[in-house]
Amino acid sequence: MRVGLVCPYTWDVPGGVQAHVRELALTLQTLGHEVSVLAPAADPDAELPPYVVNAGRTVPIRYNGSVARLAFGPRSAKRARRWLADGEFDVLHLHEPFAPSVSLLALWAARGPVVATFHASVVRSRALETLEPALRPALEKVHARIAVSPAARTYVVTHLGGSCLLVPNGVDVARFASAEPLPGWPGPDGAVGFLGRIDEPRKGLPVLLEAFGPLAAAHPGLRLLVAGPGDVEEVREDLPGPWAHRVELLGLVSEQDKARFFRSVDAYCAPNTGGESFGIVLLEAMAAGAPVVASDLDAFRVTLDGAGELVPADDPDALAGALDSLLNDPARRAGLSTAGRDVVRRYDWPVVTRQILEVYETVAGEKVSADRSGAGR
Amino acid sequence: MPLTLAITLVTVTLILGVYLVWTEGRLERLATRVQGSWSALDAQLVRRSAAAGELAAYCRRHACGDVDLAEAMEDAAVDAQSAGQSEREYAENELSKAIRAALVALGPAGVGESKPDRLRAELATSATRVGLARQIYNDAVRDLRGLRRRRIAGLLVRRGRHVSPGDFFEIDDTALSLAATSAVGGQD
Repeated sequence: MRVGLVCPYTWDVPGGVQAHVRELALTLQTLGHEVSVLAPAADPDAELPPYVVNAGRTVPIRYNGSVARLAFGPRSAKRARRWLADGEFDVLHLHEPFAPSVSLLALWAARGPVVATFHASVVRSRALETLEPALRPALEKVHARIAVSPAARTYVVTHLGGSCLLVPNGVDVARFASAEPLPGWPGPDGAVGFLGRIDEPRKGLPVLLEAFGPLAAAHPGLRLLVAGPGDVEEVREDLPGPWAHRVELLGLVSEQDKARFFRSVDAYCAPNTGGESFGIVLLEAMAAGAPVVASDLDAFRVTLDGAGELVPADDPDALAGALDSLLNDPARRAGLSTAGRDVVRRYDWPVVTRQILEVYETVAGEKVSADRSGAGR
Repeated sequence: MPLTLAITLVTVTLILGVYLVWTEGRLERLATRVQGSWSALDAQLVRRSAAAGELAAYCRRHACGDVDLAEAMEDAAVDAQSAGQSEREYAENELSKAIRAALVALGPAGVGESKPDRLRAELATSATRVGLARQIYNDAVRDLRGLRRRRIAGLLVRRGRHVSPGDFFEIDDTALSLAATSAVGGQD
């Protein structure tokens, strides 16, 4: 089957949607399908994998509460049209179709069967409510809609009406399970991990740093490993002196190092304060066997499915308490690790990709039969 | 003044014309989507009744599970295959019920390569696909009906040679996922 995937966000900047599209593309190729990905690149000379077609440069736009780099203009529209014409895809699979970027441009130019995956979830989107009548004709071209989480599905059904399938985000379980810990980690005195944008308050690093004070006092030698993009120097300057040397700021890490990061900690902490629709990082942590302590958000509760500790969001004392008792209880950590590996099995990419293929086959069957009936007329 | 009026008239007519052509295109595209997704649903329903018939015949010959229920499933499969357009929904729904009853009587499925396991796996897969195809078809019908309710599009429909937008196809296929191996889910 020839599949065209469109990623609206900059390919050379790490992100949940980008990772989803990349893993889906690779797994589809492994299963013997032809895949081409259209995605914008921030750096025009970026080294892109052979299956990715550059959709042009991007501009930063505030979207859904954070800054996204999007490509939206006549040049990107032209590239999208050219890519569609060259590709002759059996199925066009757009991601986040209503982000003002190449997914929407490709949808406007699309002719054949279209599948659209919605990743984000916001309770109420003023922008989408206003633009809905203008987007309606484009939406009519979408044959099947997929949401990656119950929260995202609620968002789609509430705002757009109609139905929406649920196919969860996937995780490359084997890669995370077999990664080597970073040299010297977790170490004999224990380590707690954080991953996410360090300058995005919703990701909750300030909450964890506040909780780390009492934790550091109770566990001499305990270290905090922080990975994620943002201004490392700024965060380092604000660290309180007494335990500043026990916080390691890695900055932006590669995909390989991300897997190694999860293997380098005794507990992974997701202190997010909101705005999460799924929590793919939790699945990655579980795949690596890291016990998880996460904010009690709807999305996180569903994703963890009991295989992790939940604490009230934005509550440093509760977070410190939960981490403290987990660090003192190796048996509990081992239990969470085993439960996590169990939960994550149904999110393994081959399992998820087969579900998406069922959707492709159903809508692509339409194309074949529509062609046949058209020829008979 | 007359020149301004003429220009205004021409502009308005042009815009209206472009809008009408564009709307006509939307209607046609949606009609193709409805037609195509019906073909897909039809194919999956046929595949499901064939799978049900095959499993029922096997159970009848080898006396596995509840033979009466197997025979009921076989009859329902034949009815579904021979049903006309107007009885189709009813017949397929009856088949859903018969399949569920027969599968419950058979007990939990093995994952082996034995003949009954393969037949059951095929039935489970086709039942899941029916659910998927049905949802995709109903979405297409809903989109087409939504557009035809609009004023100008409705006018085009009445003036043109548009066929019926098709009816929603409602059968109970949710509980069948009990027997399904795939987890693609989500209704409404």
